[in-house]
Amino acid sequence: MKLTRAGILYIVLLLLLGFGAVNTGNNLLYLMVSALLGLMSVSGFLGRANLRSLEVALDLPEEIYDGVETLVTVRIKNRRRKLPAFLLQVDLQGRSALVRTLGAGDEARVPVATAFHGRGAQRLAELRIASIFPVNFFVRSFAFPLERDFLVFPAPHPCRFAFGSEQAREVGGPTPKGRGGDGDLCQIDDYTGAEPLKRIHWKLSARQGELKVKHTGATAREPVVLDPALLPGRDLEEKLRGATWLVNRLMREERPVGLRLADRLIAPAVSRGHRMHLLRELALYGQT
Amino acid sequence: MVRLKTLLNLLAYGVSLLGFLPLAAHLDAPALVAFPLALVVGAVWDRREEFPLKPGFATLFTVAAFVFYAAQVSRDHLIEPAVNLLVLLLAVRLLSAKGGREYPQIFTLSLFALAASSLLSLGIAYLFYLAPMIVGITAGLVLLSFYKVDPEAVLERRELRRLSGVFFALPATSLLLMLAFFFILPRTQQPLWNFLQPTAAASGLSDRVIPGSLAGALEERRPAFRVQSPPLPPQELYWRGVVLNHLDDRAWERRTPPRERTRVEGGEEVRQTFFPEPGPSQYLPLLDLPLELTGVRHQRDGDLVFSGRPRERRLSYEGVSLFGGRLVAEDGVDREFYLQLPQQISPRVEAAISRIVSAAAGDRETIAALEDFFIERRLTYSLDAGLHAEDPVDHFLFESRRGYCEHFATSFVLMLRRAGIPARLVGGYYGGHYNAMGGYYLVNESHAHLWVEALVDGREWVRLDPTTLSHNAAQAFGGSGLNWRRGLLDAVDHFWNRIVITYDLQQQIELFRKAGERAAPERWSAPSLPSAAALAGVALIVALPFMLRGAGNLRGREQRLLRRYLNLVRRRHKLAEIPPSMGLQELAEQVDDPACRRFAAIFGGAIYHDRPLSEEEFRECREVMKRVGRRGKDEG
Repeated sequence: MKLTRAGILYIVLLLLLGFGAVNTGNNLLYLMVSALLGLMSVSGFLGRANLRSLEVALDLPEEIYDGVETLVTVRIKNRRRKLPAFLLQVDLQGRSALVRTLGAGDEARVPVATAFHGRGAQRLAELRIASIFPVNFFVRSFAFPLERDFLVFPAPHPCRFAFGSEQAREVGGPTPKGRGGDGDLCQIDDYTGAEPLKRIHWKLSARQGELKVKHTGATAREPVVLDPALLPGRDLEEKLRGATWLVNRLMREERPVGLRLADRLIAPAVSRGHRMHLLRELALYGQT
Repeated sequence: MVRLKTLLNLLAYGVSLLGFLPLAAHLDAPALVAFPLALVVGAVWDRREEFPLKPGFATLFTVAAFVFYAAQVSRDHLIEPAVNLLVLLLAVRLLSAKGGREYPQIFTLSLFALAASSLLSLGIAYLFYLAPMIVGITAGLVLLSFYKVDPEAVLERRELRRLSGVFFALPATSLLLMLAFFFILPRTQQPLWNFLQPTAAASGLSDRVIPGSLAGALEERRPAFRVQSPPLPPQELYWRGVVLNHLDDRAWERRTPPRERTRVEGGEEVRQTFFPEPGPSQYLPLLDLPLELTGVRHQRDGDLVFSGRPRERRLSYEGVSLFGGRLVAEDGVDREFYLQLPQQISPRVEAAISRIVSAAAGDRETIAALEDFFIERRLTYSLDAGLHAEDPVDHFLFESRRGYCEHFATSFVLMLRRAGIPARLVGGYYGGHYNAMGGYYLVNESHAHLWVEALVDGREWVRLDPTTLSHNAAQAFGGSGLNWRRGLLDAVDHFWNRIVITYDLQQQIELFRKAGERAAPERWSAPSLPSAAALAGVALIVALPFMLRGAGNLRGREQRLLRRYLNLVRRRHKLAEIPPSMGLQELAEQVDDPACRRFAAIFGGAIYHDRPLSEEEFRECREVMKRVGRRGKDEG
């Protein structure tokens, strides 16, 4: 709980009136001071009650990249039967979003644009919700335990690499035309977190109440197997960022991609599940 | 849908008006005109989102007003400049742009304005300004929280509906807590700034009476005091105040009485609590004949006059009287002192006294003859008797034959003394309106009265009221009671003064002492109104977190049901213990009871889907619980 500037001024006002009441012995001033003290006490209790009985959950996108802004949906449910909740400010990774009112029994879905730093397995232990309700004297905050584990993939970094060398190996004929970045609109799908924000179909998202992305057509390309250790880059992290970019870029073009790791080889394929598998491997690369 | 700013503007107008109204009667013309004008102009311009007073001008105007009124401030003239300045500052704020800083300033200035009004008047009207102001400010502060996060917010009807509960609960609970805090906040024995207390209009008993001077007071309906007492016979309600024992030229006055030992005996003991109006009088009235007084520092004289310091503030004191008792002068009195006469008595008065004295044997007969003389004169009780400067007694008895208590009493006492009976005048009040709603007498200034005490047989002071000898006494003293409306208003005013205005350190200590005593179970009894309010408030403070906790966790009914169910299962299936981690379904399988399976299905269906049990489900659960462990019996 943190006292705000308005709270400090209110206390000063209260002290002034209290000082006046005690020194004049004027009971009407005592009444006023008592009422103001009462207001402060009740606002304290209501402020506490406002943050109780909330249930908080987090909907993380499937693909989270190191340092790349992504939309995380915070779900807040007011478990009270009658009392609404007000002015709930969600603080996540230094970013915040506001729920102005939340009716009793209602659930709010709050998108928070935030970025996670550092690839690999991460854990969100708690989520903090703050509120100045009912009056802006105190900022109360409450940490809701989450214990949510997730993976952060290396940030994709453009990697100019000439396929056809020892890095690339053809495993099959031309693949059919599929989704990509430069064709016509071919499909509308749920936002997973992997898509760039410019792909979000805002009008449709607003109409349907959840984020939707546009997929456009692309032409097919040849399969490759990537060995991160052999990719250009000053260090392993830079190489992994390049590999991530290549995996996404090539698979978006429906080009089958495989991965050569220190101890095994992941054969090229072109499905979404395969791509997630590769990204997971890259996220955990070199980590035990 | 409504704009947040519109709501805040409306609250600012309302709250500032509540700050202005109680001060309106005390304002100079500029402030009196400026505020309503600023309110109207400000409201009109707010709708256009333009502001007539730019920040620079507002500052300039504020500084000018401050300098102007600061120059007028002195120790005796402190409040008036301050309230004028406050109202002008409010007017400036209403004309300026309003935002996150300005709204709290308007609320604060309004609060200070209302606080300042308490230094000018102590009437109950204050409460009727304070309560709505707290409601308005509370709602304003809640809306300001929303304003802080989004100044351009538009509140939907649904949001307003949700907020309406807060707008009601927050001020209502604050006002309830106000009652508790009021009685427990620390107070001092002698406030340092006592001079800032509002002073009351002068009233009360004087220790010098010139016949004719009381007429003004007798027409006044202003309360003199209120006294809590059991109902008493109205014709015997003499409230003793001061004894006038010396005639100086035309004026009767009080001189220090000679040392004499008196005793009050007989009669019925009556306890009273007095709430006199503030005033310059030092005399503390009590029901005749008074025995003792407690509650204020005072001096008691042998002639049963109780005096203290002039009452600048409201106070209360307790009195004990012997109603219908006798005042006995144990060692006689200084006869010379009580027989003092004016230098000249008119021949007509002398002749009348000679006739009376020659025909009577003893004091009682003389008094009776004197009373007969007054009756024979067919004197008329009238307030427009005027004053005859030359010889008021002669003029009253033989010329005008009209007068009120002063004329009757001063003439009677003079004739008594001339007849050789020591006598004195007693000033006080006669009668009063009994307020059955409040259980007290309201005694107005119009009840001011003067009567006579004569020393009979050198031993007993006897009360004589010559005014009752007028031929129209029955009509003059019949009086009219309080109608229900006046009675109600006066009762409200009385309790306001009694509970709020006169509450001080002494009463606070007494309250805590009584609360401590009543806390002991063996001494428990019904608490008085202030202590009940204080206890209720403290209880509320203590209970509120639990109440809110209960409100936030609204599954009490389901929890109780589950607890009963688990106890039942444990008992009927003879289980040693049911681990907390065991699910209902798991438990049902373990005890292999269809009733338990059914209970688990209903209860789990609701709770695990995060909803409370419906009434029907709740009833079914209870029915199912009756069958738990009874399978064998039912089947058998």
